[in-house]
Amino acid sequence: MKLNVRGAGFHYDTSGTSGFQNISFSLESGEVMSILGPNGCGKTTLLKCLNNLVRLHQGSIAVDNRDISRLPRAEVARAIGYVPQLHQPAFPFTVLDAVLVGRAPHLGLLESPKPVDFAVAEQALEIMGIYHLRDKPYTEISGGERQLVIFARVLAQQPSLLLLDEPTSHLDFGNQVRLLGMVQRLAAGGLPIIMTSHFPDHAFLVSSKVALMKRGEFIDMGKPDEVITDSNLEKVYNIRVKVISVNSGVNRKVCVPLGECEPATASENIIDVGCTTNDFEFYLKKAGDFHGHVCAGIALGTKMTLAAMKALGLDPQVRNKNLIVYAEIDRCMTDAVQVITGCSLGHRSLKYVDYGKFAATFINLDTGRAVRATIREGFDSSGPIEEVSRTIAQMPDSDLVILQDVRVAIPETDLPGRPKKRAYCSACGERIMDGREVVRGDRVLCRACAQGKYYSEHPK
Amino acid sequence: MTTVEKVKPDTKSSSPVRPGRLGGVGAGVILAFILVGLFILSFAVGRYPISPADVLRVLVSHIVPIEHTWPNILDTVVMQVRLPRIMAAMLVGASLAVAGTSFQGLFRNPLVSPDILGVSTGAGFGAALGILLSGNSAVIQVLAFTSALLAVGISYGVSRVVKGNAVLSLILAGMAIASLFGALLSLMKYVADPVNQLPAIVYWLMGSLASVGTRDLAFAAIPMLVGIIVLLLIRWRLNVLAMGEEEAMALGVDTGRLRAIVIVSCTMMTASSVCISGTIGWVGLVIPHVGRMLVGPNHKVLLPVSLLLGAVYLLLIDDIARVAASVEIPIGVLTAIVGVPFFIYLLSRSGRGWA
Repeated sequence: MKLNVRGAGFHYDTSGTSGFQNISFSLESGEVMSILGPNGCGKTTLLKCLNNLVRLHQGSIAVDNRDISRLPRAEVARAIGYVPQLHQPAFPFTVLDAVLVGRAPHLGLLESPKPVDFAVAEQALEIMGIYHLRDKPYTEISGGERQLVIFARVLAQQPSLLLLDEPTSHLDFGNQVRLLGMVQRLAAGGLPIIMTSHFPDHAFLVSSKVALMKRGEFIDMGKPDEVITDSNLEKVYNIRVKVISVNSGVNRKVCVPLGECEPATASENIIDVGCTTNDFEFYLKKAGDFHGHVCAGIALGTKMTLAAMKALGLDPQVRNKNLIVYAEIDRCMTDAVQVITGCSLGHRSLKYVDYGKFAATFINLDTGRAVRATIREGFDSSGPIEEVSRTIAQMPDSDLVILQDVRVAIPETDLPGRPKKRAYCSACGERIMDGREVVRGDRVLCRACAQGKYYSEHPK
Repeated sequence: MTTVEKVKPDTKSSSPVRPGRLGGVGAGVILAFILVGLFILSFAVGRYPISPADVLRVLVSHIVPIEHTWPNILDTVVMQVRLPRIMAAMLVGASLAVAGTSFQGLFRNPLVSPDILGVSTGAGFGAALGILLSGNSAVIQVLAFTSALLAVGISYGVSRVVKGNAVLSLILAGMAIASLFGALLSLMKYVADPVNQLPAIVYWLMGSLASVGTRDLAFAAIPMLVGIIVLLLIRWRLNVLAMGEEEAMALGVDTGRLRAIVIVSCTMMTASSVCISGTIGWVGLVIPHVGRMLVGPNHKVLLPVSLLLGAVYLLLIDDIARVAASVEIPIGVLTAIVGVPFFIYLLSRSGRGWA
């Protein structure tokens, strides 16, 4: 099966708002294409045109090089199956009768389903896992089950291309995922699928191709990773969106909307915050003291400072005299911190620079609460979760770790092997770097002591 | 797939028959028996009582020659008076029920009756015009039939001009045209001579099978039978149409053509019915409901069952109309008086409510 759409255009006579223009793409067996876009951008109209329910005004749509506008309806229906957004039942047909209707394109005007059609319909019910509902009125099952019935109906149609109009939009959380699983299995069986969706996350889950639609045009199309980006989503939906990778054992990309709606209960312990140029400008604006002429390196310090202030419950928008900062960071960072907070910094050392991290301790003078923040640049989170957590475990103990230039959110509690308390050498009393402790019986020694460099080990 | 294959024989063995379909066949057989019994019984009842045995003898004598052992008047009563009337009752009942069922499926609406597109008011106007012009029954019938087709034709034409949802525009156009013809009918009544013509119009509209003769029946039976046969042939497709316009199109149905076929068939049937028996309400609206309560909404089964139900029901009502009082009660009145309590009873028993 090969679908070719060339320069397709359609406009409603009255307003022209919900039509589309200049749509070109192609699709082959096994591909799942998701079309994302805001309400009224023309997704549904496009799907209807792909099925020749509505005729194109410009361009052409061809299935296996046959122009569908020239094919009889039944032939189009044998090639292309369509699942509408919401099926509204009028009569309480049994589930089997509702699925049998899918055989219509294979039957003549005067024919009714024969045993072979019953077999196909029953097989479709089995594939959807709803065979047990066969004789129930499809008005008396749940909405999720009914969606599966409509899916079974389209399977009974035996099309070589499937069009799904927002297949998950009326389903509960669990059924959404189950349905996407079904989409994935059908695609794996070689059936190409085009679906519209309101959920970029779903596009990440099932699609091999994503098209972003805005005001009737594809503004980007390609692999999900390349198309579903912060800036693209912001362009399409006009809200700030952050695409992050979730690594806590699931390894998956998700889209987090920001701005408009703040969470009622902010999640604590989320260590990651990726940083892009956009963010940098955003934070600069928030800080109120920057006017764009600050060097880019400041971003690191800015980020860390703002995150730390947030953790301390201080308003990052005002220069805060209640904050005192002990920095273990380089000159560039300290400048940034100073500008944001209005506090002078107590320099202690630059020793962590060796490890490629920057750290500072922030203390809220009002409450006395302190936060130790560390920032890590160019963090590689592409490996398996164990590797990531090991890397983090090697970092100095911090209340707040900011991973720079990565998109990984790891709840701190999920990290295996990370010591929760600082280890101190039981011989010399010095703090031991994470992962460098040497365990002798019930004693923990630093490497130096273990090697007998400064203090000799006292036998018990 | 392996799990699916394991499940399959289990579920099959637990329900080896499809209850809906067997129920449909069973209901059909029972209804057919009732219809045959009622058919013979209907000849027996009336002003001139005839024993069922004599009825059978008279009927059989017209197929195979047997010894003539009954008075000649029986031949006249059975063949000339009662046969056309009984056939008309069955045909009209079946037509209205089948048309109602088809329309309810087509419009996806259980509140639709066969005169939704203005058939009845159209026919009523035509009949009234005929009564005003001549009073000849043939003229009245031809005018009623033509006017009924005209009303539906206008409704259909108007709906094609209107953009948007085809089904909705049909219903709206039908309502508009029906009220237009209703107004014209009122005008006819207004200008009619109140001594002779006005009562004739009123009686015509109330409906009666009393005056149906063999010729009337022959005139009306052809469009009715053609409509019934066409609808029975395409009845499974009504299931597809009942999924909704757009989905039916996506399922490969040429909805415009199918809708036209259904509308033309139903209109012919309903118009013919109205022509020979006047406007009989209720049957086309409620028999489909009773049918769905009995066998479910699958038109493959529902349409034949509705046909039988409609025939049985109207035949029964006509028998009551003939027997109940010394003066015949208009059948259009009786259908409702007998039907409403029965329908409410069914409704309270079914537990599924409407649908």
